[in-house]
Amino acid sequence: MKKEKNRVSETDRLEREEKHKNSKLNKLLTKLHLRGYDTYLNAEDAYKKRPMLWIYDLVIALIFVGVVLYFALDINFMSTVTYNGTRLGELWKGFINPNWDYFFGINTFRFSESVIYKIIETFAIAFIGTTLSSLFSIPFGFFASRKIVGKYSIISEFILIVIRTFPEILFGLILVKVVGFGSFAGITVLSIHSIGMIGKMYSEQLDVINDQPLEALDACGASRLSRIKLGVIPQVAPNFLSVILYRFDLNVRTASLLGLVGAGGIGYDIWVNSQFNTWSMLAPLLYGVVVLIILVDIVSGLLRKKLI
Amino acid sequence: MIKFDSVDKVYSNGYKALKNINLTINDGDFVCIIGLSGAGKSTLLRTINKMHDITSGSLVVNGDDLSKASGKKLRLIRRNIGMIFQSFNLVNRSSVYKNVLAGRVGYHSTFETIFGLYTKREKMLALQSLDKLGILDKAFVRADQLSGGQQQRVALARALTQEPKLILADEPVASLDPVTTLSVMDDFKRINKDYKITIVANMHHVDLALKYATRIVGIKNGEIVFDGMPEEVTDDITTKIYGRALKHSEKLGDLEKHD
Amino acid sequence: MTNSTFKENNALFWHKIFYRTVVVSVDENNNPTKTIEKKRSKALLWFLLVAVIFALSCCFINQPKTIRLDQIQVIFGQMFSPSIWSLKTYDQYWAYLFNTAIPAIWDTIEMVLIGTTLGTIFAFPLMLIASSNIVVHEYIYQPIRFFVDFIRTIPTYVLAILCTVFFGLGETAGTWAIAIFTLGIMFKLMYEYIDTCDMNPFEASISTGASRLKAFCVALYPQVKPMFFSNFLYTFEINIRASVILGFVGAGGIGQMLSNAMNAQQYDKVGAILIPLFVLVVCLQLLSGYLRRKSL
Repeated sequence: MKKEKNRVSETDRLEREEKHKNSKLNKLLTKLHLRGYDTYLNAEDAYKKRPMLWIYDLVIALIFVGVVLYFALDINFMSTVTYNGTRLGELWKGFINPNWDYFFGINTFRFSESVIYKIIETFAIAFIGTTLSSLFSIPFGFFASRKIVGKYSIISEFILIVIRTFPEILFGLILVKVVGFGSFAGITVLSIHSIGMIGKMYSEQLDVINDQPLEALDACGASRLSRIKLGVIPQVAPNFLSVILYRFDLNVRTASLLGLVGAGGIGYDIWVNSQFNTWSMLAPLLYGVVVLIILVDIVSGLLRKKLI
Repeated sequence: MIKFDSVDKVYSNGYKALKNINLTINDGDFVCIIGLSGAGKSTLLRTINKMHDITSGSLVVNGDDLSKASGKKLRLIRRNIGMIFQSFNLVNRSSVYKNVLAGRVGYHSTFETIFGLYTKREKMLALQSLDKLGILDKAFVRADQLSGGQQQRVALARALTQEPKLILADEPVASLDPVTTLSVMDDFKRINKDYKITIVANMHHVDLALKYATRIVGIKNGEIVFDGMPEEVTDDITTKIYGRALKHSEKLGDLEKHD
Repeated sequence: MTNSTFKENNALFWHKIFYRTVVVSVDENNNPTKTIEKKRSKALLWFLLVAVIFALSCCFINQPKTIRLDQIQVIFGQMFSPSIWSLKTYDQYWAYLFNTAIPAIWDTIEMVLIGTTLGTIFAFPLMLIASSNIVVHEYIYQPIRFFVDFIRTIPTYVLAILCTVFFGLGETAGTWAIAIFTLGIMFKLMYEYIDTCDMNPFEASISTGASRLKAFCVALYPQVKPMFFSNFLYTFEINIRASVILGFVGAGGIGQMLSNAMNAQQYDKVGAILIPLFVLVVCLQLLSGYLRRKSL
């Protein structure tokens, strides 16, 4: 039914193109050397009538450069007044000589205060948050996809957008006030924030599924549930998993970020140590974080390759 | 003039692509290279402008010894050699005019290329090349909106804008329909006669090669098995090159009846 | 003797776990005449693995001592409804919104634009060197890719903190943190795209005597241009969201104001800052999504 409405005859389309070509705006543009003519007599004629399309690019470039220069005068990004070479030297010394006791949680540090413990805690926050949110965002994703629910997808889309654009740090701060310091706040923030992201990616995947297997299932009389189980899920399952793994990758970083506001994980210690300038304590933290992220990147990359 | 002298090309895994090629191509020739796919036609063609290197022997193109050419000198040599590809190799998002002007890039500095500052003479040259090939009306249209034959003509105009002494064509008509094939081949012939540009082309339609070329070179397994005039090519020779006689259905046919 | 049977039993045991026999056809007495071995789906194994890691992770989480749900009502209520405000009147609210919040957001936009532009300018030559299509020698492009990927693994807030160490607190640190961050993102997105580009016109340009750089300008840049600008916008949007984090660590932008307001428990100010921010980010997302779809 819908397809018949949109079918326009070929002659109508050609007529519309002709009218469009002869419209006033196009004639003006042609005269101004901004659009090509239909025919030329010879090479000299074509040279005289050639369109100078580089003007569009030039105008856009000038606007952009103008805006950037105007902004650049406002922001001082070359201020060398506060450039501090000595602090950098101390930073370097701290990095060469990290506090290994702190890293491993031996001698003066208890294990639950060590860098390794905090890294595992960060990983745990990310893992739990991602698994929970990947489950909870399935309904959100389904209801946000235009193909599955039609017009009503906009409700769920809006909810997902709101959840997504709320800054995580702010959310973390709020939740720390609600449930107290520690990793529980981190898990909650991460789960809810990830529902926004993962739900959107689910809905994008669901919007591009192939209709043909679904039609075939309808033709042999499958119930709605069977239709989803046999038609939709096999198509989107590997993509969903890939999305989850990608999001896990990013969530490890977000989990460490949430620590900044006290929601557990490694961010809090990084913040504290950088405030007190104790570089030899900051160094093992940074090394730990980088190692964690690299490991998660590698593992998630391998698993995603297997999925494809 | 192109002179191959005991040229070999061996890949690093030991595969011999070209064996002992001795070939002289004079100015003004229209040479067609025929042979099976994988026999070495493309390799031979691409050694002429050093897109592929040779492993031994000497190759002199228009007085320049290619084995010593590299970097800037090679670019100066390549400026005078135009190349046509089977898949046209145009920049799809740019207009035809810009594609043709791109042939002159070798004559300008990087700065001038970035901002597209070509001289007036070059711009007229580009438009005249388009006019000679009959596609001037499409000069400012996006390149991917043209038909296959028109796109190949744009590629030919790009090669002409280089003002070359030599044009290499790697299976130029393989992607075109039979009628367009003949008109594009006619354009090649006209360029060869009127502007005295040497043309070396790979063909896999033997009868096309026989009709248009002034000289035929047959390659089998990397060796030249025939080098002579089109009239001398008999069925025996095509059998030797292709391994069996060509059936009537494999010939292009109806070559006399076209506009 | 016993060793070999032990190994056989072991192998049989593993085989039974991973494969199951399916009866394909039977004869009259229901004896199987033909069976095939089907691999069992590994999904159950993966599920168990995930559950185990989940359970282990829970050991590291601390239990919340008290949950003060009333706080939620307090906070969000203050943010979005005029009942309990620290700014006493409507007029003060709108004044705050337009005199403090929106100019702060405008400053953030300026900082982010400069930072993104700086990062893109630095990324442009690097992405050319790092694409395996243009630079064919592996020993040139692999180290650069590795080095910039390494910089990308450092989390944003760590980069911001390091920049505040180097440049001191304020906008300068924020701008450079954004620049480094942008460099990483644009670099990776663009070199991966260039690797998938159509190299045919590039080859044609080289055959006319152009150097590789000139051939890039003429043949590849028109293909790369739409993707370049849509990635720029995408990175710009990511950077606006990251600027909140930058502000928290003191590198300038609205994050600082947000953090102050949160600490002072003036949630209406928080709401006043969040609303234009939200509008901005949503508009950017829609614009960036539209451009991405149009250019592909």
